[in-house]
Amino acid sequence: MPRSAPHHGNTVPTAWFRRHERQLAIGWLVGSALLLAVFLLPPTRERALYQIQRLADRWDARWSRRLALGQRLIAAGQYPAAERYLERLDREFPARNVRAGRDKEREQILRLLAQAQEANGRRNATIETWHRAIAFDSLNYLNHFGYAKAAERLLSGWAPADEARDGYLGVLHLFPSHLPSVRGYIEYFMARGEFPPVTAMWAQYQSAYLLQSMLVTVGDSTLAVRVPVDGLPHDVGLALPASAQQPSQIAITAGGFAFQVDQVELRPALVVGQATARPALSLDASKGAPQGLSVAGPGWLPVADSGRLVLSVPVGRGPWARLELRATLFKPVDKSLWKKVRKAYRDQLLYAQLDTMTTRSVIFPDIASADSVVARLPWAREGTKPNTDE
Amino acid sequence: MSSAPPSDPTVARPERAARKLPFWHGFRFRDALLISVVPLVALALMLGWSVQHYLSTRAFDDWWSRPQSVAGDFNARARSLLTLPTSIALREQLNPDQRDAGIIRLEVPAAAWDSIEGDGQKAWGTWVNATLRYGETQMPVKIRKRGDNSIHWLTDKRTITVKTPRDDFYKRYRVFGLSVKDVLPAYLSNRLAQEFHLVAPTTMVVPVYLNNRFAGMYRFVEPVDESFLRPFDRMPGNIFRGDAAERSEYRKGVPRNVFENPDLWDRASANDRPTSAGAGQLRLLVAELNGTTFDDHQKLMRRLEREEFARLFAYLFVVGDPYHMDGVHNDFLYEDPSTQHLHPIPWDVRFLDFSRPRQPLNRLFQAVLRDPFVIDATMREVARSIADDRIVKVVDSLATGVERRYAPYFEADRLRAGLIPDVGDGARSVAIVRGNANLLRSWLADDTVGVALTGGAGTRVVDLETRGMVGSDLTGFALEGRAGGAARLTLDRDRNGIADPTDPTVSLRETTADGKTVLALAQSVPLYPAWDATGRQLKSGTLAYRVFLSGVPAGATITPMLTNRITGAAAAQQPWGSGTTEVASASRHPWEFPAEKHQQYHLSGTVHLTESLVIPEGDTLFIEPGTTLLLDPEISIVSHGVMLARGTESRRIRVLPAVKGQPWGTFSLQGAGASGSIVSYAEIAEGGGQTLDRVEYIGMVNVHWARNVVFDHVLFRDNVRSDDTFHAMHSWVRVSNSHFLRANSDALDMDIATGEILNTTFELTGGDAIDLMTSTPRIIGNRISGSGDKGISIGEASRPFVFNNWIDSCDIGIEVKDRSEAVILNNQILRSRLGFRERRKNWRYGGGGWGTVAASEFAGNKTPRVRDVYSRITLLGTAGLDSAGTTEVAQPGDLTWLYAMGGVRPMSGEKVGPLSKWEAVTPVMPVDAQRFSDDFGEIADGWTGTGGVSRLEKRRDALVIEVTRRPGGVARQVNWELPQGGTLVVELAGRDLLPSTIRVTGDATLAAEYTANGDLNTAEFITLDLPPGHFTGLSVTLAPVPGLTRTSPKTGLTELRGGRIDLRGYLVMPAPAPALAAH
Repeated sequence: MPRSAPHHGNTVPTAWFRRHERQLAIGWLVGSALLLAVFLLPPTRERALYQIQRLADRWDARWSRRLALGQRLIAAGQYPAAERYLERLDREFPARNVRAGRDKEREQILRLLAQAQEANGRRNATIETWHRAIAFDSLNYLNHFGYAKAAERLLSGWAPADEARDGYLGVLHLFPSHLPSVRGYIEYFMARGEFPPVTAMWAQYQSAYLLQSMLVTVGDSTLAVRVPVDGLPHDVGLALPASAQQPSQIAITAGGFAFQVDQVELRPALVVGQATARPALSLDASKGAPQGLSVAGPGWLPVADSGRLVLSVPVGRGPWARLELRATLFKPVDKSLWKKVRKAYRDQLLYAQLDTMTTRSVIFPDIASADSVVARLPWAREGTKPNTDE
Repeated sequence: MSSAPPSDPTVARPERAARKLPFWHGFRFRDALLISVVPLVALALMLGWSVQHYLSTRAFDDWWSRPQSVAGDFNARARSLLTLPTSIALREQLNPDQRDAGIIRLEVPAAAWDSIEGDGQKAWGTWVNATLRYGETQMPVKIRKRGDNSIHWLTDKRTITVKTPRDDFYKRYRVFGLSVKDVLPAYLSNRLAQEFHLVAPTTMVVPVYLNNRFAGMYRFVEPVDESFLRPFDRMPGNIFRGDAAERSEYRKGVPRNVFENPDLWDRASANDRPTSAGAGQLRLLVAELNGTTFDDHQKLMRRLEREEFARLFAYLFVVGDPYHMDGVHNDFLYEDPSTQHLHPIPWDVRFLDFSRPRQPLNRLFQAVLRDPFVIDATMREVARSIADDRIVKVVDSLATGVERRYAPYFEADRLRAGLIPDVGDGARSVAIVRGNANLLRSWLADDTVGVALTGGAGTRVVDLETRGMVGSDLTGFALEGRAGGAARLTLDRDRNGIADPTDPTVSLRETTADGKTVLALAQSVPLYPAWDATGRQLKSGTLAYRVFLSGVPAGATITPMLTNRITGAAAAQQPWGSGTTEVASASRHPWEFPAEKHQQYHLSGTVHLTESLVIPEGDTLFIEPGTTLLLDPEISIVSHGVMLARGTESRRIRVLPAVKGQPWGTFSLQGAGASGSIVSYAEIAEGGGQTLDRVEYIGMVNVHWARNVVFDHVLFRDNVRSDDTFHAMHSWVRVSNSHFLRANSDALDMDIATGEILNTTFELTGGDAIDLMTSTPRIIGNRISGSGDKGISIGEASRPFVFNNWIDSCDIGIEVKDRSEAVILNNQILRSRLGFRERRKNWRYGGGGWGTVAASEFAGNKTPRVRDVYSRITLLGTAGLDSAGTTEVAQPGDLTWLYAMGGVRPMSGEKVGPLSKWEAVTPVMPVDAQRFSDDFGEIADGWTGTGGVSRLEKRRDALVIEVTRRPGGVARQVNWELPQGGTLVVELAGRDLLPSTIRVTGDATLAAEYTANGDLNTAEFITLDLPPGHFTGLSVTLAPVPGLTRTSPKTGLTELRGGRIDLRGYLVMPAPAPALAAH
């Protein structure tokens, strides 16, 4: 009889099991003990739990992978497939409240979905998706802006739709210096020939509070000073560090904003034991050497990122303790928008106000360059990861 | 080939059966499974929970969820498992019915709880119904999820907000938070803020039971809103909130710093008065704090109070956390409408080791710390707080107290460490504060000054540079030999490097001893320090000062005498090399600030003002007798300095409109600099109120933030447009012998003020003759007639003494409301539509009025009295104050003690209604007194119950004593030493009681009987004369009326109704001095 034949009615595996049951039991116990030991001993426990956490992370990261797939579908122009895919992802995505960690991914999904829906000609669904984006995070101006642009494209007739205007207003409530929305809002009223809201919005835009760091390089030191961007002159003063007390030149840049500088003055530093009165030194800003700047109306327009105004300082008259200057930073505006704004002022015979606004405006040659001024600032960048200061 | 048959463990071999088999011989696989199943399942469960918890934290992305790990949670669960028996045993001891005023019990239906707390992402802003129980009180409340990050909602312990009904507060709070974060440290930190006299929210540590199960130790915190301001005696105003750090609150893609982007602020409390600029104020603030000119700095500092910021910084340094109010969140600013100053409110301040810097301070702090006076005042506050380890002892006392009081509760929470947020450790907090105090001590000693003296004959140039954390005082110079008496010191105040004629000089006094001469400055020159607050760590900066010393012999060795500005010790001096250069500082130089001039202004004759006259603080305005000031429309006189306008009976000062019928603005005293002002024998008429420098002067005459201001013999008449004829706010004012005629609305309005209103006549007032809000004046001997609203309106927690006034033909004679407690003594209220009203008008105060009306007469009023259910009254010998409106006259009773307390002595015998003759005497303070407030302290403030006492706790300003089924008693130990005897006065109301006994024990035992009148809202005084001696006990014995029943609010079942006394308090007055007793 072969050894593997059934015995006492047992199957072969059963018989094998019965034959080896004690070893198996001991093996099981040893295995269990080892497993427990892994989780009892701190070094192995930490390692094992870390591995488990990595598995959990991988599992959790599936949402990012799925979003990336949706982005690829959109990028490939496969809009019907993308819409189906993103709709399902939208239903399943875990971030249902803006408090959730994947809030930006959720917004990304909604934007992609709206894009796919719009490409597939689903107008109402697109608008509804933008509504949902706004409801999800009403404090993200990009949701309002996306809605406004979609409404402008999908709902407008002979003139931009009311919904677009409301969307732009939603943006400007959160971010009053957002030039594209100012433009959209103004175009809405220009299309209707209603000029008072245009001039009112323009005044609001110019006065919207926005601070920009102006970088002043004095000798070897670069000092930052925050100046309101409103087209109005502001006095600023800088205490000069020891290394900057005898500069040969001063260079001024405004991080991409158009600017103007006048009344540059260096105040003398006290020299121990020298009881002599030294006068302040005034520098003529109009004689500054522009580098990467072009003259545009009342200010300097940067034509390169490194655009700066360089002023020469007579050597040997220091040391200087403080630098005081009057600086003006201008909100960006493009030529086509300025043309409309000017028309709105003129049509209301508001020449004095137009003159004032003209002195507060430096015109960028095109929309892209004007819009990029604010968009490239560090706080304006948005990805799906948290900002560094969160 | 044969082989051995396979062994069959089920078939015992004979030889094996014969001998004893080892125990494992019969071991089966299922036995192994059975042995291992428990630990393996436990392991699997723990792993499962840990992974599940980890994944739930992955759903959020904030400071708390980010560092969470599977290992951390697993380890915490393992520890919790090991301590489970201890934990269970401990929890068995915790009793929700424990008599403790802090315990909060919430009963929430399970489904409702799950609906808000089951999912971290759901149900934000949703209120659900619950029941709040504390002591014997039960009230319906609403609760909702709370918190700005996941620590508040991802553990077993959840943060919630509780809201009570408007009619029934929890203690004095309508809305409060129960937070799980930093329970003990945040409690200690907020209590410390109050030690520094900062406006900070009330924070307590409380045990919370949820559905009778201990939920944990929580931090009770009141929200920052309008109600929060009231205990600080602050007027309602804007509270700006810059608190947008977490998702759902911050704006993506815009500047996130609230001190850079003013649009990010919202308002936790809104002042919608016309003068409020709302968020516009913030835009200016942001512009000024980011500004770099001296003008910007001055504007900024005019919005703030240096002393307050000094206290704030001292507090933040002591706790080690000037970082968390960081420009992104935790920034609250209260705007006081009476000054337009902004006051910081500390929020979410932690205990940190201050020697380990975290991040740069927020931009507001950086800007304020450019002010040398703030730095100097800060170091003074620091020195005060850490002297003798004072602040360490405070923290230790607070921590020890709360940890001892709630020891088992803390222990129960600590056994769950890792699974719930850390509740904190008192010892750790104390150690942190001790370490910070030591660091700050080293700052106080850091007083180095760089010194350079140059020049020979004639004038010496003395250059001084502060280099430490504290400044120094230049007190004089030491020199070898004699100076010759011509020494002079000139300060280079305009900082142009040379001595100018405009530079001030300081005289020097020469003294010689032991061949050494000291040139002492008549007034020391303060050399303030500068700090560099721009980096992660606060560092000392430098400030250079130049002075010129002239009149000293050439070649004399001169040494400046410098002392530490805080400690007074000699300051360290370092040589400052000649020819080196001053390194400019971002700090403002103290000599940039204009010096006070102390000018005097004199007005006399007829003066026509065509523009407003504003007198700066430090200056004095004299208005001569007989002066007539004619003010153009909207033109005002506002004095920030002392105003002395003393007319005479024959030569009155007049303030009148220049254009008849067009009101001028305001005649006002503003600020502490105006303290001591006097206006007498004057007529002020037809002004209209004004807004100047954004401060709204709502009266024709206003006194804001000034003390000891007197208006005597002044006719105030015919104000136009303004709310009030006379408005006093945050001030002490005496208005005497004056006359208010035809006030446009209220005649004399006091908001958070005190003082005296004496012998003044109010006629034909449009609104209230006297209107009080949170004020405590003495209102004596006034005649009020024909007021369109109230004769005297006593509101919003006011506590006036109203004596001997005559009120006639007003709409309402006297009104007491909103937790005001007025003493109304010997007044006469006649012929008004309503004689006396008590009510709750503003729900934020949490109750109605409680007036004490004694020996007053109400007659001829259409309705004698109206009282709502929130109000109470204590009556003594008052006539006509009953619903029938009859002229029933009560006996005035023995009021000696009340007169003594009020500082009056009747000279015409006690009677109901105004006394014809009396004199003012020094008020007598009671030997002992007790009043009750429903707070977090002792539940009965030292009273203990025996026998049938079923309830003994503080509620609604009284000690509630309930006795059920059988007689009982309450008692309190006292320590009254009365060498001349005295009077015990007990104020109480009761119902459903057999006659009760109030007993005093000690050298003698005395008793008085009290018979309850059945109305808990009408109290009465029981007095008991005490002979000379020492008394040690006060007790009340009481017994319920048998056979009464009621429906239990807890169970809904019928139960025996007990008897009840609401004891408002007692006081013991010493026996009157013989002279007083003679009357």
